[in-house]
Amino acid sequence: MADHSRTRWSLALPVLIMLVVVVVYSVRLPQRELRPYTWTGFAMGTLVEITVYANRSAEGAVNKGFDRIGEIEQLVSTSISDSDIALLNSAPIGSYVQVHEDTAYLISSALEFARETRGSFDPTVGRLVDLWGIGTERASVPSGEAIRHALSGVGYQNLVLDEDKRQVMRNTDFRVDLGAIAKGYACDEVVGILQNAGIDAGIVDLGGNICVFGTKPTGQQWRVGIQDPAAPRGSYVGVISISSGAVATSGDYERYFERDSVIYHHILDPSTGYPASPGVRSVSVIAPTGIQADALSTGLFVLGVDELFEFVDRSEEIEVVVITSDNRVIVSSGIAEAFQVVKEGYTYEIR
Amino acid sequence: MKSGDRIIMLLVLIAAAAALYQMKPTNSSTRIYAEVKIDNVIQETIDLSSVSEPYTKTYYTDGGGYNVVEVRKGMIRVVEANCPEQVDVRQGWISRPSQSIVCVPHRFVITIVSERGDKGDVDGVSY
Repeated sequence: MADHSRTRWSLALPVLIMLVVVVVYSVRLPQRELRPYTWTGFAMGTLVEITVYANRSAEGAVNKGFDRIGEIEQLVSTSISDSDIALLNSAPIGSYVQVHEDTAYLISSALEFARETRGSFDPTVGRLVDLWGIGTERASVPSGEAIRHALSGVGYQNLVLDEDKRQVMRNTDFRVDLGAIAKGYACDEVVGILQNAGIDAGIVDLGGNICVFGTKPTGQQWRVGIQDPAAPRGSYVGVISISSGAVATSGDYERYFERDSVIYHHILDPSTGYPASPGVRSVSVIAPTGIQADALSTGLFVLGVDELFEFVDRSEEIEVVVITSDNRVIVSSGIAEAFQVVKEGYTYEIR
Repeated sequence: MKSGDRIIMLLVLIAAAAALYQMKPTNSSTRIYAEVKIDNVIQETIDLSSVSEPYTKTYYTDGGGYNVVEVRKGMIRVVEANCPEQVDVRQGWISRPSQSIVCVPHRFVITIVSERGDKGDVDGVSY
């Protein structure tokens, strides 16, 4: 009798445990699933998506976010004739131009990133960008002489900022282009606006520059895919889980043109004047802010694998996912645990 | 059968029913939809899972723009457009949540969304 009841209970106990687990699981899952709301728009020549975990009343804050992106675009676009940057680029060399606070901040940051990357990121390559016209209808391979001419004035050391007076001056003949930093800054600004409006959690996607803040209602981290260079936009090789901060990617597949079976992409090497060819297809930077991620993804792409990892080793703030031309995905050690492999056909390394 | 046995059997049945109930939603969550938007306004949400015959459809945008879309079961692409760079045409087929085709000059966007209307397994993709 005693044996029988022991047998019965040794059977009942696992069943009871299973029951409790299943019941708890099924009760927990459908629990109020706060849905994300997404607003989309076009700004800075790209698609913008703002997603917040909140109710419809977030619309006011989201609209303010879109307005802010528009403000920044008005200040730094090279194609808006009265933007700060257009005015600076047309002002006489050697004379100061008064700029807005945002522009001064962007130039100050750009100069800092240029120094950090020893000119791999350089905001003075505007004339080269115009010359190649990559991403526009008039994209073409310029003559060697035209490139040498466009390259002659390039050098961030010749861009002078007087921060107190908010005045900027070109010391040599170059054009300023903040295209590799402005989207990241706008991303940060939108996050600030949403947070100030009391929104708990959200994700801002400004043409692939992604900034996240707050905790999702599920408590899970944000999952950001890293674009597969060989597949349509939105396909990813792996996923990074982060709780805050930003991810930005510079890749050779985003804007390019082909002439005589050669691909010319839009990430120009400020030292040669040609598209950078470091054996890298893309560099994704994971950083505390969007402005860092945006600028450094461009700068590190130009550096190439070895030099860029030296940079990452020195930096305490950034991590990277690098996809090489020979189909390797190299993840920096600081983020390796947060990286989930999704796609086959690549070899994955931690460095 | 003793009463203890009955209780155990009942528990097993309840557990099995609960487990089955849990499994139900995963079976239907494989449906995917293509959201076609022009200037942020949804023109159409196509249930790609239930397309029986392939077809093409032309969307017209402001200023004389057009994008011709081809739809097949489980996938969608832009086959023709009168935008300068043909970025959307070059994208080819898309078929998974989070994938998108964007034609910036026409403010024309196709996004694949899951049944829940989101990007599936990710919150965003950095490109």
